This record gives sequence, structure tokens and C-alpha cells, in this order.
Amino acid sequence: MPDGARSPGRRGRRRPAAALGLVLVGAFLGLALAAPLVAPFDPTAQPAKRLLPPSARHLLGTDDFGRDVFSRVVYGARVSLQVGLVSVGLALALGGTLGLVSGYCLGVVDALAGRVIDVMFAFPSVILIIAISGVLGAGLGTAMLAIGIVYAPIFARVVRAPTLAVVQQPYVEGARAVGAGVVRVLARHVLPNIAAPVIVQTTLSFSTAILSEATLSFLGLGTQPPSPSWGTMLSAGRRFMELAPWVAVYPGLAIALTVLGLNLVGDALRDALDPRLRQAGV
Amino acid sequence: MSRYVLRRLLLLAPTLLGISVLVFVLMRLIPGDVVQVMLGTEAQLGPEQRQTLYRLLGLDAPLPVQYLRWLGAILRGDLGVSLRTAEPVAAIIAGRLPITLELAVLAAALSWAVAVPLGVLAALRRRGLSALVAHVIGLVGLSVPSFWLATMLLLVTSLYLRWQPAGAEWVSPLRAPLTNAQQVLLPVLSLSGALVAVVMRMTRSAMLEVLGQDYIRTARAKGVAERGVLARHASKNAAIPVVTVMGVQVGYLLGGAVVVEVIFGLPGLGWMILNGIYQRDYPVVQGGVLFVGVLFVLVNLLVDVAYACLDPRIRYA
Amino acid sequence: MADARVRGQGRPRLGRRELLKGAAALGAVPALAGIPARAAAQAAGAPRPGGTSVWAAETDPVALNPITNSNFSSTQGFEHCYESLTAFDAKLQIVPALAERWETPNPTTYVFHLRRGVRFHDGSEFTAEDVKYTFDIVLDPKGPAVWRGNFDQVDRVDVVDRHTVRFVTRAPFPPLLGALAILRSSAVVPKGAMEKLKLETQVVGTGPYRLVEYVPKSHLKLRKNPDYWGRPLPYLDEVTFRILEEEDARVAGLRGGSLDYAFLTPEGVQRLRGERRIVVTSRPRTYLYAFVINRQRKPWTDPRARQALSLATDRQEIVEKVFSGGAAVAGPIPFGFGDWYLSAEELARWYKPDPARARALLREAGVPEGHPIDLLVTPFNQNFPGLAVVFADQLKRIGLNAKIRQVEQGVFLKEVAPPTFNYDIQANAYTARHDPDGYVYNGFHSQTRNAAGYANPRVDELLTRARTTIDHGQRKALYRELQQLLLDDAPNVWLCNDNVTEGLQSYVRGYEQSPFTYRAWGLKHAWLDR
Repeated sequence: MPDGARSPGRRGRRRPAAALGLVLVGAFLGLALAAPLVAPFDPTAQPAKRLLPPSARHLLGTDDFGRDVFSRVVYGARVSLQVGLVSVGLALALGGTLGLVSGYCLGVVDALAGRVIDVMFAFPSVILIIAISGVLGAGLGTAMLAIGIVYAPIFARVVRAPTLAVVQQPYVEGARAVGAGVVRVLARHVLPNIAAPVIVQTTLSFSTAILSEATLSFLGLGTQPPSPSWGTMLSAGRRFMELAPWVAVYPGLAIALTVLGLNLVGDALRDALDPRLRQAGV
Repeated sequence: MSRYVLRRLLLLAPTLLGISVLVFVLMRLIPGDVVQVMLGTEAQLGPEQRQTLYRLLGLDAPLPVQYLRWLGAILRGDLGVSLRTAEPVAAIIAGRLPITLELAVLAAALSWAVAVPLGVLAALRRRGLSALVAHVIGLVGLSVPSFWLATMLLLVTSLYLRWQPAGAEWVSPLRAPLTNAQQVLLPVLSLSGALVAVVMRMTRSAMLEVLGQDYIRTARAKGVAERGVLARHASKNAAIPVVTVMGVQVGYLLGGAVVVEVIFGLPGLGWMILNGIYQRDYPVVQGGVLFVGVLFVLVNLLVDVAYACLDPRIRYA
Repeated sequence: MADARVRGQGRPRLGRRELLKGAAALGAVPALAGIPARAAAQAAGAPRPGGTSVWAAETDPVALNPITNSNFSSTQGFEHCYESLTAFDAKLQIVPALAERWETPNPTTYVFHLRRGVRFHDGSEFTAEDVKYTFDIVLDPKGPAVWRGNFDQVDRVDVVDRHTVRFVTRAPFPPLLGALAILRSSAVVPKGAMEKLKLETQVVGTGPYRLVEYVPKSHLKLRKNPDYWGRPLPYLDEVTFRILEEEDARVAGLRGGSLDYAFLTPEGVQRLRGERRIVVTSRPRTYLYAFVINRQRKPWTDPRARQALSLATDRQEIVEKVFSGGAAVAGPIPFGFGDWYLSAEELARWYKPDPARARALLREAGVPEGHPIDLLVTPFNQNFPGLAVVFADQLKRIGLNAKIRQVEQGVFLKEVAPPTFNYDIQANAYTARHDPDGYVYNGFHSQTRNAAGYANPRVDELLTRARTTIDHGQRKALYRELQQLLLDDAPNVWLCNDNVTEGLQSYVRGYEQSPFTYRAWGLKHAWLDR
């Protein structure tokens, strides 16, 4: 039955997906933030023999240069966190602004913005990221920038629709007629309406950003060696899958669990925040 | 409706123009050019010889002139020739298109077949364990990079199942369906992984939304059987956003399949464009991206028209 | 001596390294997986002609024009269809090909007597006119031949009669025969071919195979040339090279039986260990890895700073970590290349790591602790990034802060090309060269564009003398002295040769590996025993 207030504990039991997601995301954040405390070795040091299987000293074994896989996976969480925050933040800033302006101003501005968004969507995203990486030079920074640019149109679309809906409301038109400032209108009327879809999209884009970085590493762009990113470890470890599977399996598992967790949280947020779904009594 | 379609078709022009400018500028901004790639690090060529090559390839004119020449040729239907192999770009695309189309269509079909039931299950059993399981299964495909999925599939099948797709090169399914099926099975599975997740998610939330509608509750209250409720009211409405999302996925399939194509050695459109970037083969990249762009816009238009047909409440001005 | 450890336990085989170090000459190292020596000996009877075969190519040829294409993978594409006046056999000896014999009436003239009755794939007869036509294009200073530099001492080519041709050089030029054999801008095309044909995708040569179809990134299909002058070769009726850049696909193909041949990395070899039907052979190849130093950027203008880099390099560690033991230290002329190279014992003088001395040299040269180094690398070759990682770590041990910059191939080419030279150190490799001169002239002679500021008058002198001396013994002495000088001066940090490792189904016989990783010779002689 549709609820009044439910205690969080009960909600957790009723929504195991959300609970699982939160646990996974929490673990990811914990690892990323506490990396220097958790990792026994410097992730770029080559202290041991190469391709050692997991042992007491090297919990997840060593890679082909003798580096401790566990330490690299832990520090890799930092890189993934960085990638997610920066690229999604950039996408939100760029795309969100575009969507706001577009929805608020309408007319020519909206039409122009619409074309820009269409162009970005129609351009194959992998190709666009590679081209931008090529132009700006390789590296993590460029990868984040490229991913951010490619994700911006999604945020533009997510922001534009609710902005449009709000702006067309009579009370908003009335406020503008009376001379209320743009910022005031945005803050009081628009922002609350776009908050929910933006939050959901942010969570989901965070997860795909991590995957995009992995794909970039596969293609040789992305994080510079010897920096430990899960994507590079996964991509570089493929050739040892039959011989020393731990080199690639553990970073792969890390990516999978983190992305899964983010997706579960994103879906749960959508369930909770989307007014239409709330009606369904979820 | 027809006015809407016409307006969308007219909007095609500025969009394509924008794509053409973007791809031209980006490619020229990338450091290095085709002559440098041709020479590699080992050959030594004097400045005069380089000039000859630049002139032969049409790269000696100022950039705006090169752009206008290319644009003019496009408008005449001429996509140019590859700077590396001198083949017409249109012919290259025509050769690659069947492979990409086959992968795209099969991956989309497979993902639909798997994801929709999962999404429905996840929506119906809202809070149960089976919902969680369906939800997680659906998401697994999106949780790993597609190159990973492809590698694992290849490894598992060749190592444990001792199975390897026969045949030297890709054969059309029209010519040798069985051989072709073997060749595309693993790539299609790898591609559909991410799609399953997206479609499942859309289906689930669409179903949830619809199930919460008043008329559904009324039908339930009237005691109509659950299955009847679903079939008649929910599915049709839930199909709408799912159809919409397929339109966006075209972009992923056409361009993003590049990774799967690389791993399995299938020369599709995505890899053609990627390789063109590495070789600095401007006409191939420009022509390829433009072509993909046109396809994308047209498919989305079709999807939006289908959207309107499915939902009588939608009316396009 | 082959190691009997169980596979899949993660420790790569090291036995091979000992084997290779012991092999002083260029002999084949017998199979290390599956069936031992029997397959290598090919004692199973007379060759049986016929059959179709699918082989894997690990890189895409991209384009097949033998004159304008410089990349190695392109040569691996057209080498089966085109020929030149001479050729290399599997032991890198120069053998007659389109020329039956030759003589030098004087030191600057080579007269080639061409084979009679040879036909191009389009049926036209091969004559001296075709040779002249081809080399007029190659020698044209404004022309598109990318390897013209290999023929820079050739003044002109004359037709003496229908089946005799004369090369006139400006000075004695012993590298000429090798320059012809290596098929770099030296393959003979029919007269008028550049104008009438699209040589990027159309092939009209004299070789054992005709091109049926080439689809970039997919496959290269060849069919036996029934009129080949080397009859009864080739034995196979049809060969398709399936282009599989991913090793996973190649290993899967060999395992599953859909591929008869594949080039393998050390990991690939490990994975196929225990496959009874697959024979793996491995030998050092003339693929010499080196770090090229930017000698016009401070502090690398000072030879002491460069020597420090070389002394900091632990080549054994590199062989272990990057090549899984499958490499032999070498430089500046690769291990196994004729008798021109320095042995491991001789190289020990320069190659023994000495971090303390390296630090001292850096101090002398005024290089501060923590000096940043721009280490440029491209993943075009899968070993380059690994080289960078290990080297950066080794440089850290002598107090240098190397930052790896991994860029895509096209960008890399731009950064390292003259006059840009935007790097401190770049990872690179010398692939097959026709002559020892090819490994040292370009890049170390101060007049060449790739010298990047390196200028040593004695080196220049040795280079010029060595390439114009005909007597083998004298040449050898000159190159010996040259190499020692270069190692002292350290404009590069030379590393090692890796191996050419190939996997074949056991029923493929007659194939011989080439240290150049060329396959034409081997494929020509291959036959299927089934």
C-alpha cells in the first residue's frame, strides 16, 4: 500500500537491491579513500617476482612486472573514483547548463542547442572519445575530459525536459512578468524539479564512465603506465588469462562489483524519487 | 504527423552539417598525418618526395578549401577515396555494412528477447528475491566492459568447450547461414550484454510506472486476472519507452561495436572508422562518421514515429 | 633441458632463454611444445602438392604497393606475390631470384643476368625493361619510393639487352644485393604499372602466389601461380591469411584447428603447451629493441649523461619481465645477423648494470637528482609499454624521474619525426634490414635527418668506409669498431632481439622460419601432410 513514512530499516529489508548496491558502493568509496592505509605496497613498485599466485604476502598475487595486484586494485579504486567524479562532474556542468539555458530561453537558443545535442548523439561515442584523446594528447586527464564531453548531451536532455515543463507553468510566467530574477526562478522552481532525474543520471553515468575508461585503456589511450587503473589492469592482464588469471580477474571483479553497485543504487534512487514510480508503491 | 516528419527531415540538414564540420575539424586537429603513418619510423624521405605525396593525396590545399571540396563531393554523392588504399569510400562502407548490420540487428533482437522478460519479472515481483536476482542478472552485462565479456567468451569456448568458429573470413548469412551463425554467435553475445541491461532497466521502470496507474488498480480491484491486466493494459504502454531506448542504442551498436569487432576480427563499420583514425585516412573517417550519423538520425525518426503510433496520447505538432 | 613444470601455474618457462643463449648461430631451436624434433626434421617423405590452408596474419598489410609502403606488415602482405632480382633464404643468405646470376666487372657496376621465361601474373613476359621501369621510379629523388635511401648510392639502371640489366653506382656499394632482396621498394612491377594499375589493392608480380582478394582487416586470399618459374613450388593451391590482431583469436584458432599457422607471443606459447597437434618453433629474430635518446636536448648532448642511462639499464631484467625470457641481448647490430654482431660476452663490457657509476656520471654531467624525463612510447608493438614501465623503474634507481607518455601510433610518428624530436627517450625497434649498414647509417651519420644532433666524425668515417668496402673481412672489422664506438658514445640504449615464435599444425611441413619474420620463403616450401 502507498506509504506515509517508512523507517529506513524496513525500507532496506524491502529493497534488497538498494541495500546490496549501497554496500558495494560503500566498499568502493572506502577503498578509494583509505587506499594508503589498506594497500601494503606502493602500486607502482616492482618488489617481487612476476606472476606469482596469490599468497599471504601478496593477497592477490603479482602482475607481469612483479607489482602487488592487491595494492594496485585498491589504488585503482581511487583512479576510478577520480574518473567518475571528474568526467560526470564535467558532463553535468556542461550538459546541465546547456539544458537549463535551452529550456529556459527557448526559441533560437533552444533550437541551436538542440542541433548541438543531436550532433553529439549522432556521432559514434567511442570514435568521439578517441578523436578528442588524439587531439588533446593521451592521459587520464584527457580521458576524463573526453568522457565528460561525450556524456554532456545526456545531461542536457535530462535537464531540459523538466526545465521546459516548469518554465511553461503559469506561476513561473507570472513570476517572470513581475520581474523575478533568473536565478531566483531557477533556484526556487526549476532546481527542485530537475534534482531527481539528475541525481539518478549522475549515478548511472558514474558507472558507465568507469567502463568507458576501461575501453579507452583497451585501445591504448587512457591512464598512463604505470598508474594503476582497473581498466588498464584488465586490458593488460588479458594475455595472461590462462597463465595467471589473477592479474586480470581481480580488477575485472572490482569493476563489475562497483558498477553493479552504482547501477543498483541508481535504480533504487529512481524508484524512490521518480514521482510516477512512487505512486506504484515501490 | 506528416508535418512533423517533414520538419524532422529538414532538421537533418543542419545536424549533418554539424557532424561534417566536427569530424573534419577533429581529424585535422589530431597530430600526425597519413604521410607520416605511411612512412613509419624507419623510412627516410626527403622534403620533395613528401611534397609529391601530399599533392597526390590532395592534402596540400588550405584546410577550408579541402573541407569545401569534400562537402561539394558529398553533395554530389561522392564520398571520396581512401588515402591509403585508393578504394572508393562508398565501396568500403558497402562492404562493411552487412557485417555491422547483422551484429546490430541480432544483438538488439537477442537483448530484447532476454531483457524484456527479466524486466517484467523484476517489476512484478517488486520486492522479492526473484526481483533482485532478475535485476542483477540483467545488470551483469553492463557491469563489465564489452572487451572483457568478449575475451571471456572466447577463452571459455576455445579452452573448455574446444569449439572454434570455422571459416576463414566472414561469410554472409545468405550464402552460408550455418558458418555465419558460428562466426557471429560470440560477438553478438558480447554486444548484447550491455544492451540487455539498458532494455531491462527501461522495461522494469516502465512496467512499474504503468502498474501504478489508476486504471490498472481499478482493473485489479475489479478482480481481473493478473495476466489479463498485464496483457491488455500494461504491455502496450510499457513498450513505448523501450522502443525509444532502442533508438539511442543504435549509436552504441554502430559505433561502439568497434571493440567487439576488433577482438573477433570482424571488419565492421566501427573498426573501419577506428582504423581510419589510426591511419589518418580522412575520407574514410569523415565518410564513415557521416554515414553512421545519417543512419542514427533516420532510425531515431522511425522510432519516434513508432512511438506516436503506439501511444495515442502523443500528438506531434 | 625443456622445463617440465605444469602449465597454468603462472611461472613462465625460463628454460628457453638458456637454450637460446647457447645457440650462437642462426640455427632453428626445435619445438618446445607438443611433438619434439621429428616435425622440425621434416623427414616424413616427399612433399605432396595441393590443398588449401588458412593462416593467421597478426597485422594488417593496409596497402599492397611495394614501392610506396614502408611498413613491415605491408611487406608481409605482398611478399608472396612480388619478387626482386635477389632474395633471402631462411638462413639470410642471398640467393638468386629474378636474376639467375650477377657479376661486378668493376667495383661500381653490377650486371644482372635475368631469368628467362618468367611471366607476370597478367601473362606478360618479364624483361629488363620492367626492371628499368621499376628502378627509375625508385631512384627518382622526387618520386614516391619510401625506401629510396636503401639505393642512395645507385646512380642509374641501364638495359643491356632483353635479359640483362646493369646497375651503376657512385661508389662501391655492397649493400645493393641485400637492398634488392629485402623487398623494400625493390620488388619488380610490370612496365607502366604505376600509371595503369592501382597498386594499393591490385597486385601483378612474378611471385609464387597470385592475389585473389584483399579485404583490409579481414583477410588476404592467395592462389598458386601455375606458371611460377620455381615450379614445382609452391605446393599449396590456396592460402588465406586471416588477419587476427588479437592473440586470443589466434590461439583459439590453432587450438580449434581452424588455423594452420599463427605468430605467437611467449604467452601464446605457454597457452598452447600440451597441445599435441601443434608444433611451436622459436628463434631469435632480427628485431632489435632500443631506447632512442634525443641527442639534441640537454642534458643528452653530453655523452656521459647518455652512458649513465645505458649503465642504469638492467637488460636481464627487461628480458625477464618484458619478453618472458624469450630475448637475447644485442646491439647495435642484432644478434644472429650474419656474422656482423657482437656476442653477449663482448657486450658485457657495456651491458653490465652499474647504478653507482651511472649516478657518478650524472653528477659529472651536471644532471640534478630527480631530473624529469619524457619517456615516449606507443602501444603499436605490445612490448613497448612494458619496456617503458621497466625502464622507468630502473631510472628511478639512479635518481631520474621518468614520466611515461603513451601515445597512439600516428601521434608518436609525429613526435619523433625530424625536425620535431619532442621527447627525451623513445622506445623503438629496428625491424628487418638488408645489410648491417641499415642498422647504423641512418640515425648515426651526422648528415642523416634522424641523427637528431648526434655527430661523431670517426663514426661518420667508419660508416662511409664500411658501406663502400667490398671485402667481407675488412667490412666486418670496420663494423666491429663502429659498434664499439657507438656503444661508448651511447646515442641509443640498445637492448635485445626478441624471438620469432610461430605455431603450426603438425601436418604442415616444409616451413622454415625466417629471422626477418618474412614468410614468403617458408610458405613457398610448405606442404600439407594429410
